[in-house]
Amino acid sequence: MKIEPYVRTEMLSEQPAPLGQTGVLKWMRVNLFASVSNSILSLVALAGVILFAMSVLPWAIQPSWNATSLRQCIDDPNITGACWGVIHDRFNQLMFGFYPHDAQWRPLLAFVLMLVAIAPVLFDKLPRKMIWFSAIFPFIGVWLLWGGAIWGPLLVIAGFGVAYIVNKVVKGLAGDLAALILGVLAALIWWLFAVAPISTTLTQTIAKTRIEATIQKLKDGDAALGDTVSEMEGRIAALEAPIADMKAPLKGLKDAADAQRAIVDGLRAELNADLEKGMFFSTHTVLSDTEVADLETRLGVEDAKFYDLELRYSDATKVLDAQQRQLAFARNDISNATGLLRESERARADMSALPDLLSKAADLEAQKAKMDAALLAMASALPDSVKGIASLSQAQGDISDQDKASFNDYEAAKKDMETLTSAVLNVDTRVQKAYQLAGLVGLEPVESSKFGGLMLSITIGVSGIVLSLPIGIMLALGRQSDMFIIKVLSVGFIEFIRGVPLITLLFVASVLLNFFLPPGTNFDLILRVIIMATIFSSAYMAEVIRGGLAALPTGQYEAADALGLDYWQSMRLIIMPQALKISIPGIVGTFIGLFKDTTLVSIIGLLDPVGLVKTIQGNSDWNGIVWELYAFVALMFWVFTFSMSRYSMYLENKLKTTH
Amino acid sequence: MAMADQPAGKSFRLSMLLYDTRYRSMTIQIIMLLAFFGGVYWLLGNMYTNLAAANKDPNFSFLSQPSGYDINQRLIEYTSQSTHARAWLVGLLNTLLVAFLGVILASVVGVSVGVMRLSKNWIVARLMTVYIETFRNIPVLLWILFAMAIFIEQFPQPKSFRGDNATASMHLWDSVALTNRGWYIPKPIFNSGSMVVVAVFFLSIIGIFLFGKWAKARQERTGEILPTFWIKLAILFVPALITFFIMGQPISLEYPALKGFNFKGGFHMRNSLIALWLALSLYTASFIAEAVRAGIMAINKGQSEAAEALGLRQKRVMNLVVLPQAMRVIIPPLISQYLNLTKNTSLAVAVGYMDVTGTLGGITLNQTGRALECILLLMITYLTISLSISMVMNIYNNSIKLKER
Repeated sequence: MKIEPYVRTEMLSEQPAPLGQTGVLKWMRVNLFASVSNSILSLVALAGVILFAMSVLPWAIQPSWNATSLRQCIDDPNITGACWGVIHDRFNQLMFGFYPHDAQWRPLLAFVLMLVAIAPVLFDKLPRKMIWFSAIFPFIGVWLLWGGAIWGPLLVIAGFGVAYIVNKVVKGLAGDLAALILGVLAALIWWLFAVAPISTTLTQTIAKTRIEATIQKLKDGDAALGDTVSEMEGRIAALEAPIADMKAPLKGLKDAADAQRAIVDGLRAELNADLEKGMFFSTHTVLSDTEVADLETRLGVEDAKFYDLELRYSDATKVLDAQQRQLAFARNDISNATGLLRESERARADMSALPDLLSKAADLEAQKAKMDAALLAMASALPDSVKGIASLSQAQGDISDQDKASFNDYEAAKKDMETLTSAVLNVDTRVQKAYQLAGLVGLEPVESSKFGGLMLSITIGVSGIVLSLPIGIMLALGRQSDMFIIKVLSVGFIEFIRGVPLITLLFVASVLLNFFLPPGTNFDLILRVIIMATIFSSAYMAEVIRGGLAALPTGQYEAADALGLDYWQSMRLIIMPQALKISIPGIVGTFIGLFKDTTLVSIIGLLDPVGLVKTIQGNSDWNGIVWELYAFVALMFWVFTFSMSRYSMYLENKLKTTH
Repeated sequence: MAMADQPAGKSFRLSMLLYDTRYRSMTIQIIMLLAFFGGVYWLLGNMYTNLAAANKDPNFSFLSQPSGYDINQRLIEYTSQSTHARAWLVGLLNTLLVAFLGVILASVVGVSVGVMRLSKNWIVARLMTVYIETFRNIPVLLWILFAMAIFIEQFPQPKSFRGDNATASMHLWDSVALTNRGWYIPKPIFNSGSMVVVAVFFLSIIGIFLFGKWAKARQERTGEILPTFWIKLAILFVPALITFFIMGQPISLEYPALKGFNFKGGFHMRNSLIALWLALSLYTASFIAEAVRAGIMAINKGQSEAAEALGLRQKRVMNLVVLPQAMRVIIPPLISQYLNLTKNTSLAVAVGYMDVTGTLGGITLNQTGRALECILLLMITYLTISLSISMVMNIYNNSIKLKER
C-alpha cells in the first residue's frame, strides 16, 4: 500500500485576530484596563466625569438666552437653572465697557489691524514687507482707540524721519557715534518740544479757518433770512388789509341778520299768541284760516330771508377766520426767523470772540508772570523774622506788628495769585478745548475712563507687551553686560520688579505715581496702569530674552567679533535676530501671564470683565446672579489664553532643532 | 586690538573717552550712573514738592500708633488697641500662612497631576490635561472669586443646622461643620503633660533622619534594602502615640457646637482663607504639573531603559533613576512657581482675607493716608519674602545640581 504523502497545496485562509487583540477592545484593554489598579482608576475617573456632567449640564442647558432680568428667569417655569440672558443683555458692556456705541467699530478695527500687524512676526511665511505695517500699527491703534486729531500720531512718526535725516547729515560731517547720538537727541527734541506746538498750531489754524467759514456761512444765511423776513412782513401787510376791509361788511351782514331775526320772531309770536293749546292738537281761536295762512306764508318768506343772511354771514366769518389764521402763521414764521437771526448773531459773536479769548488767555498769562515776579520780590523783601515760614505760629521769637502786617500782606497776595492762577488755567483749558473740537481733523476723542470690558484687558495687555519689548531687550543686554554699573542697575531693576506682586505696582499707579511727577501733571488712571504694566512685564521680558541670549552658542558671538562688527552691529545683525526667535514662545508666555494679570485692575476700580461682574451684580435687574457671569468671563479668557498657549507650543516644536 | 595703534606713553586726550574702547565703557557707565541718580533726584524732588504741597512729610511714626481696627484672622495676639506695626506683622504672618499651606498643597497636587498626565491610562491622562488647561488658562483672580462664591453660595447657613428638621448636618461624626461662614474643625487642647508628647514627636522626626542615614549606610554595606517608608511611618507615630496613652491622654479635642446663631468652639477656618488657599494651590499646581511633566520627559529614554535592563522594578526606575535627574530640570521652574504663588497671595484683598496687603496696604493706608510709606514697606516686605524663598531654593538647587568637574 502506497502512502500518499500529505502535501498541502494551498494556504490556509487568514483567520480573524482574537477578539481582544483588535479594534476598540484592544484599545480599551491597553489604554484603560491594562491592570487591576488601572481598571479601578479608569472606572473612578469615568464615574467622576459622568457625575460632573450630570450635575453641570442640566443646569447649563436652559432656554434662558432672551431673559432680560433674573426675576424673569425665576418666574419662568421652563427655566430651572442658568439664566444666560445676562450675557445676552450685557454682552456689549462685557466687550467694550462704556465705550460710545457708535464708535465701537474703532476698537474692533484696531483689533483686526493688530492681528494683521502681529501676523508677520508670528508666521514667517508671510511677505517681509508687512513688517512695515507692524511698525506703524501702534500709532494707528492708539489713534483709533483714543481718537483725537490725526496730527499727533503723524508728527510722532515724523520724529523717526527727523532722527534719520539728522543721522544721515551728521554722518557725512562727523563720526558714526556722534551721528547716532545727535539723531536720537534730535528725535527726542522733536517729540518733546515740536510735536505739541505744531499739532496745536495746526489745529488752531484749521479751527480759525473753519470758524471763519462758519461765520461767513452764518452771515450769508442771515442775509437770506433777513430778506425772507422783510418779504414776510410784506405778506403780512397784504393779509392784514383785506381782513380790515372785510370787517365792516361783516358787521352790516350781522346787523341785517339780527333785524331779520326780530321780524321772524315777531311773526312767530303773533301766530303763537292765537293758539289754543289742546290735549292732542291745537287750534287757532281769533284769526281766521286765511289770516293764519297769510301769516304763515309771510313767516316762511321772512324765515328764508333770515337763513340766507345767516348763511352769508357764516361764510364771510369762515373766510375771515382763514385769513386770520394765515396771518397768525405768518406772524409765527416771522418771529421764528427773527429768533434764528438773533441766535446766529450770538453764535457769530461767540465764535468771533474765540480768537480774542485766546489772546486774552495769553494776556492773563503775561499778567500772571508779572504778578509772579512781583510776588517773588515781595517774598525776598520780607523781614528776616517771618521769612520762610508757612504760618505765623511757626515763627521763632517775637515779631513786631509791622513784620506781621507785611507777612499777612504777602500771604494775601499769595492767595490772590492762586485765584488768578486757577482762573487762567480754567480759561485756558476751556479755550483750548473749544479749539480742539472746532479744529478736529480725525476721530472724536474718547476718554479712557470709558474703556472697559475685554477691550480694556486687551488694550492694557498688548500695550504692556509691545512697550516692554524694547525695554526688556535693553535690560537683558544690560544684565549680560561687562560693565559693572550697568549690570548692577539692570539686575537691581529686574529683581526688584520680579520680587513684588503686580498689585503693589497697581497701587503705586493708582495712588502714588502722581507724587513722583512734577506738580500739576495729571494723566488718567488707565495710562498710569499701562505704564506700570509695562514696567512689570519688561522685567519678565528681560529674563525671557536673557534666556534666548544664553541659548545661543558662544560661537555666534565670536563669529560676529571675528567679522569685525562692533557691539551694536553684532547685536542687531547676528545675536538679536536669533535670540528673539528663540524667545518668541517665552514672549507669548509673558503675554499670556500679563493678559491674565490685567484682571487685577478690577481691584483698583477699573471696569475690566471681572470689575464689570460686580457692576452687573449691582444692577437691580441682575442682583444675585453669580455663576453665569463668572463662567462667561472665564470662558472669554480661556479662549484667548488657550489659543495663544497652543500657538506657543506649535512654535516650540517648530523651533526645536534636536531630534 | 587698539593697543597696537597706541604708542606707549602717549598723553591722554579727551576724545579717547569716546573713541578708545579702554575708556569708553567707563564713560558710558559714568553717564548711566549720572542719569540714574539724576532720575532718582528728579523723582524724589518731585515727591518732596508734592508732599510739601499736601503738608506732609515722609514719616514712619504712624507705625507705633494704635491701629483702631480689628483683624478677624490672626495667628498672634492682636486687638484694635495694638499698633499699626503689629497689624503689619499679623498681616505678614497671614500671608506666610497662606503661602506655606499653598506651597504644600500645590506641590502635592502638581506632582501627582504631572505624573498622572504621563500615565498610560488614556482617560486619566486626558482628565489631567483638561485640569491643567482649564486652571492655567483662567486668571487666578477669577479662580479666587469663584472659590469664594462657591463657599458663600453653596454651603448651608449655620441656622440650617438647628432644630429637629435641620436641613444640614455636621460631617465626620459630628466633628466638622461646613457652613457658609467657614469651616469649623476640632481644635486640639494641650493639657499638662502634653509637652512630653510633642517633644517625643519632634524627637521621632530627628529619629527618622538618623534612621534614613543608617539604612542608607547599611544598604551600601550589605546591599539589602529595608522597607524604609513603613519603618519611618512607624517611627513617626508609634512612640508619640505610646507616650500619649502613658501620659493619660493629655491632648484632647474641642469640638465645634452650634450656640445661638453661630458655631462656637473648635477651630474656625474662614472662607476667605480656604478659598484663597484652594484657588491659589490648584492654579499653581497646574503650572507645577507642567514643569514636572517637562522634567520627566526631558530625561532620555535610554536612562529608564538602562535601569530596566539592570532589573529594577518600575517604581524603583522612577524613584531612583528618573526623578532624581528630572529634579534638576524641575527645580528652577518650581522656584519661580513658589514665588508666583507667594506673590499671588496679595490677591487676598479681593476676598477680604487680611494678609499684609489687606492690613498694611489696605486699612492702615486708608486710615493714616500715608500711601507712600505703606506701599514702600509693603514692597520691601514682599521683596524680602521673595528673595528669601529664592535664596533657600537656590541653595537646594545648587546642592542637587549636576557637579561638573
